[in-house]
Amino acid sequence: MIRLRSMFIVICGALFFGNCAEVIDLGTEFGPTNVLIYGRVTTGTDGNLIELATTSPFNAGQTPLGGARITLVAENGDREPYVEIEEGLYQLFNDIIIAESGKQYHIEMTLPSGEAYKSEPAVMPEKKATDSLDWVARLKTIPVRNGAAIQRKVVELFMGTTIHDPEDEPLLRWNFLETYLFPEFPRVRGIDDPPLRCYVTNNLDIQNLLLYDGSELNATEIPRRLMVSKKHDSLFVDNYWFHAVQSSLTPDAFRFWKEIDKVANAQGSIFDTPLGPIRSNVFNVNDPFERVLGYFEVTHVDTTRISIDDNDIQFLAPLPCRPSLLPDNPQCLDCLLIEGATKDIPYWVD
Amino acid sequence: MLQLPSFYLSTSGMKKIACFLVLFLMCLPALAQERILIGDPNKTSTGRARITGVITSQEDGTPLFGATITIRGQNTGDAANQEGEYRFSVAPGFYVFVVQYLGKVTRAFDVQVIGNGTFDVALEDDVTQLDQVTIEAEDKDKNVTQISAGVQRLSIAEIESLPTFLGEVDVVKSLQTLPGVSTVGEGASGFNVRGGRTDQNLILQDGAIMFNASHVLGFFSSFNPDATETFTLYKGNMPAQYGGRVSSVLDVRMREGNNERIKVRGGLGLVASRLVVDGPLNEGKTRFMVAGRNSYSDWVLGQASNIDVVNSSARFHDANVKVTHSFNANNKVALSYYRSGDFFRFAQDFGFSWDTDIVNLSYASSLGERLVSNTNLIYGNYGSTLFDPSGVDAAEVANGMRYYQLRQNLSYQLNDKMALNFGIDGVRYEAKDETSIPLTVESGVVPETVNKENANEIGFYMNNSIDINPKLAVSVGLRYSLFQNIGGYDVFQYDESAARSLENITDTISYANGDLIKQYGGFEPRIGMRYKINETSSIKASINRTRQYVHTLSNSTAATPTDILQLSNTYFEPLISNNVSFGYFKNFKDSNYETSLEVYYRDMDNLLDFKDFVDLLLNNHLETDVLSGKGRAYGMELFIKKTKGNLTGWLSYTLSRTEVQIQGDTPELTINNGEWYPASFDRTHNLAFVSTVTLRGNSSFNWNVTYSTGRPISAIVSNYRIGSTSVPHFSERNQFRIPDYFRVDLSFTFDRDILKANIRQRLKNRRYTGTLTIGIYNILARKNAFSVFFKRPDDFGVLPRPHRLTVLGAAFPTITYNFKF
Repeated sequence: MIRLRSMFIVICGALFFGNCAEVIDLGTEFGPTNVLIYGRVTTGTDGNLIELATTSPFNAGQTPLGGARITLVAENGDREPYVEIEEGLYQLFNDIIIAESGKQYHIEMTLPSGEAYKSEPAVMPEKKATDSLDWVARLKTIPVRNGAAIQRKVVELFMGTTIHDPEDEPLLRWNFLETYLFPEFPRVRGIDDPPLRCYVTNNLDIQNLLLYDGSELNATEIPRRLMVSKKHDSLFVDNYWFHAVQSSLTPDAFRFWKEIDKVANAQGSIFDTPLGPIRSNVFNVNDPFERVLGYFEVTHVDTTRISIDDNDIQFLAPLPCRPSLLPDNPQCLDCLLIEGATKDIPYWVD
Repeated sequence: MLQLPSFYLSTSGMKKIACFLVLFLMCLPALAQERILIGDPNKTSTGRARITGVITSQEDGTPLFGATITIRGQNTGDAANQEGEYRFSVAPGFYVFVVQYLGKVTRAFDVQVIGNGTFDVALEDDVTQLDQVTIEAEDKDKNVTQISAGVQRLSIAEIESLPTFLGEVDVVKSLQTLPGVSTVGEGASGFNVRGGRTDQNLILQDGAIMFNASHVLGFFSSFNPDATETFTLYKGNMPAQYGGRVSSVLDVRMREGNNERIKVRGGLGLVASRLVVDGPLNEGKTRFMVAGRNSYSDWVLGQASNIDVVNSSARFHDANVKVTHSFNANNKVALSYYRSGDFFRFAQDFGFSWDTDIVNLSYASSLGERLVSNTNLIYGNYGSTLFDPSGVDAAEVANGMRYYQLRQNLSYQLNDKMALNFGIDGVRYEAKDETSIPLTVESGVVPETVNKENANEIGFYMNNSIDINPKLAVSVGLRYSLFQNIGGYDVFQYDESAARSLENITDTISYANGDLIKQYGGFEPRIGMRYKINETSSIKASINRTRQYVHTLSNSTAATPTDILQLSNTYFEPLISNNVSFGYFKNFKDSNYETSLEVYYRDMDNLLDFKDFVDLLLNNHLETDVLSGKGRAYGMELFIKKTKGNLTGWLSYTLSRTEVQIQGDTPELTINNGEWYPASFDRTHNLAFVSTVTLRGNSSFNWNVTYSTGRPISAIVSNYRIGSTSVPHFSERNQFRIPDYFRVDLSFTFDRDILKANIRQRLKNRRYTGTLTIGIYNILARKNAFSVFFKRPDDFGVLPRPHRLTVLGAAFPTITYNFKF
C-alpha cells in the first residue's frame, strides 16, 4: 500500500550519502535444482497447457523436462492425460474432460525418474467480472534530458471492469496480449502465392502483474484505466488486436500470484516483507517437504479483445519491411521466424 | 556448547527448583557473617562514642541529603545534611547500622563501636539490589565480587564523549558496544541481547515499561542523556523483581532535581537540542527536574536537492518532568511525566507517527527499622500510526497499547547481611483496536477494525543474596507470574485435524468484556552463584527461567513503529526461556584492568516466527500466519576494560549463534524443512573497541572500532519463468549473509582545560562550563551494508540482482556543544 522504501531514500538523500544501493555478489551461484511446473485447466479449450522443467542455479535458466506422465483428474473420477507436444510442454485436448465451474480438479504426475507428484484439488471458480476495452491514438509529450520535450505518437489501451457481485469477493488476475499482422516483403513465389502474412502474438507487460482482491476493495466497478501505452510503429501497419485475459482465481492461486508479484517486482527495503520461496500446490507424494516450484491453476478464463484497424488511426505507420531493411531482417522474407508468429488465422478473427 | 541438566527443562524439574528455592530462602538468614570495627582499638572508650561520617552516592560521589543512618533497636541516628554529613553518639557496643535513601539500596552493617570514629557510606542505586551486601571496601573489585554475572552498567559520564552519529549521546547505541549486545544495523530500532529479539528486552524508565524507545526510526533512543542518571543492562540473568521479558532488562533511572540550587544543562547538536533544568523548590524538601529535547531535522531535509525529500518531514521530541517531595526522612513521593513523539512523512506518499505518554507516581517510606516500602503507580499509553495521505490508498492504520502498572516492593532487613526483597508487580494491558480509516473521500480503502484483547499480568517475587562464606555467595530469587487474556474478543475455532487457516474455521466464540479467555502462569527461578578464587578473581554461574506474555509481531527485517503488539492468547502461548551462564572474572594491576569471560546458553519455547509473505497489518487471524517453534542461543563473551589512567575504555568480543526451528506437521507449517536456521539478527562475531585518551582536564580524544559478521538473509538462488513472468527463487530462510560490518569513529572533546593557563585561570571561578565535541562517524567512509535486497537493475534485464543498502555510507562529521551552569 505504501512505498516504505522511500523512507530510506529520504534519509540517505537528506544526508547527502549519494548511492544508497549498489549491486554486490553474494556467492549464490550454486543453488539447488528444483522441479518446476506451471500449467492450468480452464473452462475453455484454449491454453490448457502445462510446462514442466527443472531449474538451474541462479541465472542459468531452466531445462525442459520431457517424458513425464501427467493426468487431469476430475472429482467424478474422469481422467484425461496431458499430451506432450514438445519437450517439457504438455497439452490437454479436452477429449474427455471439459472443466466446469464448481467442479473440483487436480493433476497427478509421474516423472521419468519415477517420482510421483500431485496437485492439491481445487474447485473451478465462476466468472465474476466483465471487462471492456477501448483505445486512443494521440501525440504524447515526453520530456527529455536537456529540459526540452518531444512528441511521440502513441496508442493507449484502456480497460474498465464491472464486478458482477462484490459480495463474492472476486480474486482476479489479468494478463495482456497483443496480436498484429506482419506482412512479408513482396517477392516472387509462384504466381498464385501472395506475400505471406503472419499473426504475431506477444505478451505485454511481462513482469508486471495486475491483481484484484475483492476482499479488500468493495467495488462494483473498477474505473476505466490505462493498461498499455504503445508507441505507434510498424505494428500498426495493418490490423492490431489487444487481448485482456481475465482469470478468476481460487484463494490459493491468488495467494500464489501475489507472492509472485512480490518476488518478481521487489523494490527492496528493510521494511519490506522478507521474501522467501513460493509455496506450490504441487507436492511430491513420497516427500511432501520437497520444494516444488510453480503451480497448477484451476481457473476460469475470460478474454476480451479489441481490434484496431490502421485506417482508424490518424497517423501513418511505417512499413516494417522495405528493400533497404531486407539484409538485416530475414523475417521480412519469412515472417515465421518471428517468435510467436503463425500463418494460421486465429479463430477470433472476423 | 553447554549441556543443560536433564531435569532443568522438565516441568517437574522446575517445580523441584521452586520448592527448593522457597526452603532455601527461609534458611538463608542463618548463614551471613561479617563485622566492622569503629574506633581505635588502642583507645578503648568507656563513655559515649561520637560517630561521624558522610553518606554519598556510590555512582557519582554526590552527598545524599536526607539519607538516614539509624541504629537498629534503638531510637538513635541522624539524617544527613546537604553535604551528606551526619553525626550522633552512642555507647560502645555491638550494633546494626541501617543506612537508607530513596532510590538507593538500603544497607545494614554489623558494627562494633569501641570509640570515636568515622563511618562513611556510599549507597548505590536500587538497580543493583542483588549486591546490597557488598561493602564499600570491595567496590574496586565489584565486577569480581558481585554475585550476578551478565550485568552491564555504564554511566552517562562514560559515554558522553564517545563518537556518535550526529553527535547525539545515546544510551542504547552505547550499550551496543558491550559484549552480548548487538543490533540489526544502523538506523534500526531496538537491540538484541544474547540471542533475544528486540521485543524480548524489558525497557524500563524509572520502572515504567516502554514499548518503543527509539526516535527517527531507530537512529536515536528516546532517553534524553542529560536527564538520565544511570542505566543498567541485565543480560538474561535478571533479578526476580523483573519479569515479562525473557532476554534482558534495560533499567534506566532518570535524574531527580538536585537540592542545592537551580542548575541548567543542555546541548546543541546537528539535528536536535536538549535542555534540563533542575533544583530545589522548598528548601530542598521538594525538588524538580524538567528536561526537553526537540529536533530540527526538518531543516536538514530542506537542504536536499530532491523535491520529495524537501517536502518530507522527520521530527521528534521528548520531555521529562519530575517532582520529588520528601515529607521527612522516612517518606518521599515522586511524580513524573514523560512524553515522546515522532513524526515521519515522505512527501505526500506515506508517513509514520508514534507517541508515548507515561505518568509515574512513586512513594517510598520506611515502615519501621527493618521494612522499606516502594510503591509505583504507572499509566502508560503507546500509539503508532501508519498513514498514506493521498490517492486511492489514502488511509490511516493505527494501533497501540494502554497499560496500568502497580508495583509494591518491600525490602525487609533480616539481619545485618541480608535483606529480603519481595513484592508484587501487576500490569493491566489494554491493546488498542487496530483501525483503518480512509483519509479522503476519494480513498477506496474500506474502513476496518480489528479487535484486540486485554490482559492482566501479575508477578509475585522475592529475592535474596547471601555470603555463605568469604568465597562463596549465592543469590536466589523466585518469581511466579500469572497472565490472563481477557475479552471482549472473538476467538476463531479451527478444525484441529488440519492446519489453521481461514478455510478451516469451524466456529467463533465471542467473549464479553472482562471474560477470562485464557490463563497462563508459572514459576521463574533465578539463581546466581559466585565463588571467589582470590581477591581479584572469581567464577560465577547462573541459571534461570523467564516468561514473556507480550510479543511484538513483525515480519520485516528491522523493527518498525507499526509492529504489532500481541498479547499471549488462546493460540500464542507464552514465550519461555531457560538461561544458563558461566563466567570467569579477573582484575589486574589494582583493578586498573577488569576482564571477564562468559559463556551462555539459552533455549526458548513458543518462539513466534512469521510465514513467508504474510501481511500482519489489520489481520484478525494472526494465528494462521504466525508459527510457533523453538529457539536456541549460545555464545562466548570477552570483556576487557581499562578503568584508570590516561587511556581508558573497553574491548568487547562476542562469539555467538542464535537459531530458530519451526517444525510443523505439514510443509505449510514448517520453515526450512524443520531444520534449525539462523535468526535474522544472528552475528557470529561481534567486536567493539571503545577508548578514550584524556588529554588535559576533561578534554579527550575518543574512538570506536566496531566489527561484526554480516547478518543472515534469504537470497535468490535461481530464476525461473511462470508463463512470461520471470520469477526469482529464494533460498530457505536466512541461508546467506550480508557483507561484514566494520566502522571506525573518532571524536575530540574540548573543555576549558585545553585553553591557555591565563585564560583557564580567568574562567576558573565561573559557574558556566561548556564542552565541544567534534567527531567523524565512519571515518573510513565504508559502505557497510544495512541490508541486502534484490531488485532488477535498471539496465540489466529482468533478473533481480543483490543490492547492498547502505544507510551511512560516508564519513560523517559531527559536532555537539554541551553546557551547564
